Amino acid sequence: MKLWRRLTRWWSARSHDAALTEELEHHRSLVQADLERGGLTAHDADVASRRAMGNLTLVREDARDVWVVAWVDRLRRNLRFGVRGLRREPTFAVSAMATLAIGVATTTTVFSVVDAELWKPLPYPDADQLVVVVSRADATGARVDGLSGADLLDWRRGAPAFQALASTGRYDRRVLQRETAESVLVQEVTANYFDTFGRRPMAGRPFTAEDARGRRAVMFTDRGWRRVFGTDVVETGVTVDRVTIDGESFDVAGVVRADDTLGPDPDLFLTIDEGRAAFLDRATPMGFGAIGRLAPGATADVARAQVQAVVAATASPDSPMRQPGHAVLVASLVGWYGRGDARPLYFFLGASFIVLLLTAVNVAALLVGRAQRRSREFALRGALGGGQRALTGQLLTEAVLLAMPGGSLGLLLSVWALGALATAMPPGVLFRGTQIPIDLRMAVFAIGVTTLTAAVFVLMPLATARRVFLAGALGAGGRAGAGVAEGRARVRLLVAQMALTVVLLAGAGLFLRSYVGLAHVPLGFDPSDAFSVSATLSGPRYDTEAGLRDYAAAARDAALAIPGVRVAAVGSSSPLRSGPVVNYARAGEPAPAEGQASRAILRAVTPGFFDGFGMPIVRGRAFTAADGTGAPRVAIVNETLAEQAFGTTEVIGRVIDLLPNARAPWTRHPGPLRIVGVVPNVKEVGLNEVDFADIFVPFDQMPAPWIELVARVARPRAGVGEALRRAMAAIDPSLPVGQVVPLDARVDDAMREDRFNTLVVVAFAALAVLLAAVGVYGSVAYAMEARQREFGVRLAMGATPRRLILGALARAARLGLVSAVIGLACTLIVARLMGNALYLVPGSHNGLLYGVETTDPATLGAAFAAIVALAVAAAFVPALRCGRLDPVSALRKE
Amino acid sequence: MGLTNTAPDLLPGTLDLLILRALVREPLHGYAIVQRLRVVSRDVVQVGEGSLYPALQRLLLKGWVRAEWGTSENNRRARYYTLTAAGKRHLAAERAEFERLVDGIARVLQEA
Repeated sequence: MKLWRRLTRWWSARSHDAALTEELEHHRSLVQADLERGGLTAHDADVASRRAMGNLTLVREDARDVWVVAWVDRLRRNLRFGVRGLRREPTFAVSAMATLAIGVATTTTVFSVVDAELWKPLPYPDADQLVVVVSRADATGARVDGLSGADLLDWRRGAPAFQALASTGRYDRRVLQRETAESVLVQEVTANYFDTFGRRPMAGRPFTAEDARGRRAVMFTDRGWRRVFGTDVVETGVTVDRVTIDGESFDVAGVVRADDTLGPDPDLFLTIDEGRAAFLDRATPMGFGAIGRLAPGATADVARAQVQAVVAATASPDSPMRQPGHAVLVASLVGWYGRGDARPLYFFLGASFIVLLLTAVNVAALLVGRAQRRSREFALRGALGGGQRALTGQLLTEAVLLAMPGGSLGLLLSVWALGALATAMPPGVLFRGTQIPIDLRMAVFAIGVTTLTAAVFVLMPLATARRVFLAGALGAGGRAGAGVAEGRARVRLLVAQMALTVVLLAGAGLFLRSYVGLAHVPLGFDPSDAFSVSATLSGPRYDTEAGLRDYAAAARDAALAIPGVRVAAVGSSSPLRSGPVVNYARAGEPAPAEGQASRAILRAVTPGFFDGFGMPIVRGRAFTAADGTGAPRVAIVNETLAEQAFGTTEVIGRVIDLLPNARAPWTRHPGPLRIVGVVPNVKEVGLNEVDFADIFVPFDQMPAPWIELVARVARPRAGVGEALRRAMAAIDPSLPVGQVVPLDARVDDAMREDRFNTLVVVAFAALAVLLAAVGVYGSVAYAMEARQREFGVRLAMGATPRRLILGALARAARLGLVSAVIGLACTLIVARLMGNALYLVPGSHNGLLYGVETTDPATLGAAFAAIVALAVAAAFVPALRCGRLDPVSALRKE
Repeated sequence: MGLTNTAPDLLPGTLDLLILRALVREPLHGYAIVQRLRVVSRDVVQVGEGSLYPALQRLLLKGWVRAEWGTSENNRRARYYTLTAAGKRHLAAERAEFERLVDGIARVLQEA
């Protein structure tokens, strides 16, 4: 009875009730007047009249119930009628609901992801106060100067607009020494890092000011804790007081919940010693910038001005912060971290809205078709005195009957999809962690749009129904429905649908072509039959260059000792893994201003490295064992560097100057390098990238603590990977060794994001094709059915079935052609609007599309042909059915 | 139905019929309908408010009467009920039916 009470309450809210009350009071006043005429005093009459009337509320409720009962009754009747109608046409009901579900699910899912990624506030208390403070070296903000600890301290002192300014230091792998050596990801942070964000430890104590000076402390993430100690810290509490990392002992402060909002959290955080010399050295950058929390009421502009003033007052004349073009940037944290490539997300959002539009159109087309089938029913009801209002009510109920289950199913799908996405998305697509809540606003919007469409198109026949009443529909021998207006509406919807599908097909075609192009892009190295395994050398043994050299040599020898390994070499980094960037200049030229110098990836490699990666030496020679510590310093450069620096690849014997550079502290040996060889360009970050300039130096002349062993093997290669790993681990058992990765897996990995993008876009296009096919099929099937009589006559008059079928197909093809032309026009407009937003642009490393124009004729042509083929194919079955018509039964049917 | 409003012992549907009949000559408000029925029936038909107003709502819902606000004899706002064309048709039909029924009952009673 809860529903009943709700209904009555709803009803009583209406003016209706007030009218009844007034009416009853009037009635009572007349009773009172009567009584007064009978000799009672006014007061007695009043009391008596009230007693005579009894319980007025009850009267009012009884009177009101009359209406509510009728309303509920009507609703129940409409529902029953609606359900019965839908059950009579299960194909219609299922396709309409499924269509709705697809539209709602797609839009809601994609919007939820985009919202979580781009627009939602960060999950920190008062997140709008959080800003990033960087000093940038050029106007685009693409290049950022490093920030030293001394700068940070100055800013803290001189910029009261900040409640707190924190910064981060190195993020790397280190060794946590327990019974076994554990490789852990470590992030150095200032002690106030967690306070600035408002993150509280879930166990243990927060970092304090003492942790910033002298005492160094470690904060585990719950994830890191579980990995290292295998226990759940919430149950056990902090059970370890001190840990040893890279031979240094740290106080365990506590455990925070891992938070991947701004990129993956490490296993543990270390405090930066804010008293140590390296921190206070203005020339040694610590991190890219600072994270600040604005004081209440302070604006980013005020903060920026304060920091700028501090820089002007304190920075030394040769500091990069004094260079022309330098400026301080205070950006909202959410904007800064949202700067990851948001283009695919916007693209997906656009595509999902097209899908929503398509579903709406499809539902509309389905409903119009159904209305046509039912025009005889409507006419009959009209003739029997059924009012327009009753019919409207019933039709709207039917719209809701379709929309609600469809919408709910869509929501369920969306919840499921978001869960699946969280696990299936490749890294780099989702920036803000993996927990995406479903966006209910969007769900309501999507369901609203589809319901509204359903409502509008469910009511459309009413407008035309009057014309059809009696005269046509019921007239002797008259054909059912075939209202001209509805027929035209159907065709228009169909064309709109197919045109939208062309847009999505063209998009999918572009991504597919681009993907195929990427798969064939020259890598610059040969990834087949080669493995790589990496290790980071840390600990006292590797504090000297000799230690690094010894390890590299040992690793090489160990690998070469494995049967089947033909070539083995060590590099400090390798293709598709990028590497530290250094500045260089042509020898003999004045050092360029900081920030203006040419940049290149510097890579220290042992002899055999180029063989190992299958990189041909274009000119000159490879490194040999002779390029050792005492030998003249040499370098091999890639073609891009040669062209950039000298305008030619004939650069053997030329000299470049490696500039002292704060950005790569391991480059302890600046100075001139004689070029002895040239290699082709390799892909450094991704497959769709601007070419990088590379400098290779002999490992022995510039050893680095990053070891990347590459081994090229003779087939068969089974078991070699494991042998490699064991050989590496045997060199220094205290060092953790990474996974052995085949180089072709690395290439595969580099294509993962493109594969994902392509997959999503193709999925959208497939949905669109499916929806359009359903639309065309339904439409043609209906048109055939409506013309059965005509076909019957024609067959009876001697037309061949073949002719009829061909005629029907030609009609469908014509529709397809018109749609394809409109669709292509739309595609070109969209392509024009997007310009080269999908391509590699300056400042970005990755384009979404590779090697294909947005107006690629082949792709557009394919989309064009596909839609015409789709129209004809979808029309085929119903057309065939028509050709098999028995003229006698067709004529008798109506 | 209202607890303190004794429903008249009428055959089902009869009240609707009586109300419609009372409205034939002129539009009336609720109290006037009660008075009219009482006077015409010489105090035999006493309709309580608890029956009258739900019945009026029922008639409104069916479209047999129409309600309009007007001013009553004591100069207050009152709702006047008017018989509609559909109401008139219904009254005619029901009246014939009712007379047949009463006739039938009378025959049964006489014979017994």
